[in-house]
Amino acid sequence: MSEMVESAVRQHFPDAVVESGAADGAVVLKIKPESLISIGHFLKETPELRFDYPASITGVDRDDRIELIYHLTALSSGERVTLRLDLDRGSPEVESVTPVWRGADWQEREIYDLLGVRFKGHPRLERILLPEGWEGHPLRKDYVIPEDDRHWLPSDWSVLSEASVPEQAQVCYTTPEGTLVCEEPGRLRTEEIQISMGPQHPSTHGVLRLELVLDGEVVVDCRPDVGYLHRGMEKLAEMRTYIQFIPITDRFDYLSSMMNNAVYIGAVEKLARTEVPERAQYIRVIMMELQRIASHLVFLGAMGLDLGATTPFLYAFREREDILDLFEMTCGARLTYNYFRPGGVSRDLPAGFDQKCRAYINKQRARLPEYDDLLTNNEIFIIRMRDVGVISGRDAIDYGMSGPNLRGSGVAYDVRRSDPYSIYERFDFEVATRPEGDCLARYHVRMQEIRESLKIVEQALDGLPEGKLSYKTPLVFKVPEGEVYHHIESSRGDVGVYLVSDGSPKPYRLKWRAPSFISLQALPQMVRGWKVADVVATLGSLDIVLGEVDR
Amino acid sequence: MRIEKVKPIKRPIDAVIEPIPGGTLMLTTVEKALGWARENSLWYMLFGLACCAIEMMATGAARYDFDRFGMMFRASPRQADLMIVAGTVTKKMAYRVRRLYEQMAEPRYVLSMGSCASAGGPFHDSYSVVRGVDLIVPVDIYVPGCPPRPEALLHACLELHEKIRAEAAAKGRKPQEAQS
Repeated sequence: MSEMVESAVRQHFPDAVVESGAADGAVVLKIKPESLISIGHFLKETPELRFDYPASITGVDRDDRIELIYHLTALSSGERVTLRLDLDRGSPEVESVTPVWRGADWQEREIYDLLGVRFKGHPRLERILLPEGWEGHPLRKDYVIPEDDRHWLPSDWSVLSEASVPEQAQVCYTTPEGTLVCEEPGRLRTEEIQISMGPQHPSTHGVLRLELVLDGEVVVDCRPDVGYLHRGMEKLAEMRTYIQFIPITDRFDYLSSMMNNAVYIGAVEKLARTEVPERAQYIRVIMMELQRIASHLVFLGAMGLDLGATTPFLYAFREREDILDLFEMTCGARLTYNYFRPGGVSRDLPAGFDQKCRAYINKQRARLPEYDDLLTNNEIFIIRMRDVGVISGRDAIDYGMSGPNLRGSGVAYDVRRSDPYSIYERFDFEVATRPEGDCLARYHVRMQEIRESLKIVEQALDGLPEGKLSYKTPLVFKVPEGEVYHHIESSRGDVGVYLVSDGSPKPYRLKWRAPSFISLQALPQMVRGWKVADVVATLGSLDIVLGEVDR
Repeated sequence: MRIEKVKPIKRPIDAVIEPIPGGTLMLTTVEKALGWARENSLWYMLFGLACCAIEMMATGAARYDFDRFGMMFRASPRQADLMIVAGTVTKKMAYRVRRLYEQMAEPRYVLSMGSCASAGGPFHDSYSVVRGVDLIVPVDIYVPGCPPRPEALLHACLELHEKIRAEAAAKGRKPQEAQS
């Protein structure tokens, strides 16, 4: 298959391919920037290839040029292909691939924001993570980090003071066409209005802002505005050593810190060719699956709260505390664990873990029917969720959605199965899918995943071997020059790390493929035509974490 | 038969009132009574910014039970007395933090939860992170930790109660307006 991809592309575009090779099980083609769009259409639309899933788009500043890397996956066959192209560093410009894969939209905006690459033909090329008017592109190597504590903060806050007299305030709003209209006070508008939902809103799950255009209560358009939690972690990776960066990975998707540890450490291990002992692999799987359950429990509680049910929140957090106790006895922390190390984990399971973990599994199994009674079979809940926020499997793939959001649309794509990492091929579990593609389907998928994860934890506890825990890591940890793409299935979906090393103790570039960020692109399509209350339900069912969306 | 004298239970209100022996009158000052009311129904604004928000949620849930201190979350700043800044404040968010603070009714209090809100935390050297929410709003209590445990947050709130009580006892107004 992999030879076929290369020969097919070479045959159709004889002059376009500059170099070819293979890495991490994927075909790597270095192409000329002019032919990107035509190769993209060819790869996606040729029936034998069907690279329909835009997994990740990365930009790297190589000092003398800017390199773009497109990771594409064919979901039907599991094949992967990587396209690379070089752009001039002075005025980097390339054709946008949004007409081919809609999921490229935000990923290209992010590269424009952080690296300054212009994408011709992009529908809305604006800054996405940083505010408009920001100077410079932080992921460029020559970017100087502002030292001043008051950078970007005004010297005087009085503009925001509440003292202004409301009668004199003008009503200003932007029309969908983009023009600013200021009206005389006291006039009642009856046409479409634009409201801002967030960034401080109880049901946006953090600091997300949605610009909603409403006709009465019906949503005409929705534009997510992200970046309120953009902490510049990808830049911080370039400023810290490989080991120093592990605690920062905890804070990407803070509901599944263990998986963030796992994907980052996985990438480092692939690059450094570190071996991992059996016992450590089993411990990792136990931790990752417990984390998945804990994350889905937060989803359950928050979903209930979003729709006005308080009790499921209290129930879900009660069980979550048991998992946190297990984590705490293992590594000492409740939320940010910093537990994985290259070649193992930081310490062994404590005495009594096995017993306590099995007790928890039994308790959780017994309590799952309680959730069903409270929420799953609750008539109001079903009415609010069924047929709301529908997205078809085809569209979900085109947007690059993953995890329970994709499986809720009937696509059985789970990295644990399609591209097994760690020791997942040894465990017996089912990939939960539902065909409907609505909010209720996504909810059911997550509830089923809790059951499947319990099964995996139990099998891993049974198979846990005795033995060495970690190979010795040297004091100064260096990885050889090279680059690697590693992805795993986190609670939110296909999370990936693209890591470039130049042989120094610090990463040259680290790119985080954030499943929440990519899934959120589909929200406007899912909520158009529904009411404001359904926006809350749809957003809740996508289960985004803003730490990961904004990074 | 000997009747034992029952020792009266010490209630929070005993700190602010003086019962007159044999009478039904109680003496207090307006400031003390207001301070007592404020202290025991400190509603906080639901303002989760980042990771710390999850620990704030856990504090509100069954095991730690924030409600027993009269602390309820409100979604609107207009109804809140306390802003718990739970997480990293970015430069893009800074204006919103200040605006929300301005929208709260006085007396208002700010609790900076976690190292990010206090000083930028692990992201202090990032280009987009504000190195401490005290560059934006005056802060009453800082809680260290990344993230702080629920017990730490509870303790901080009890310290804040103490502070409010002390203010009321001093009959003084909160000096925050002079600072900001």
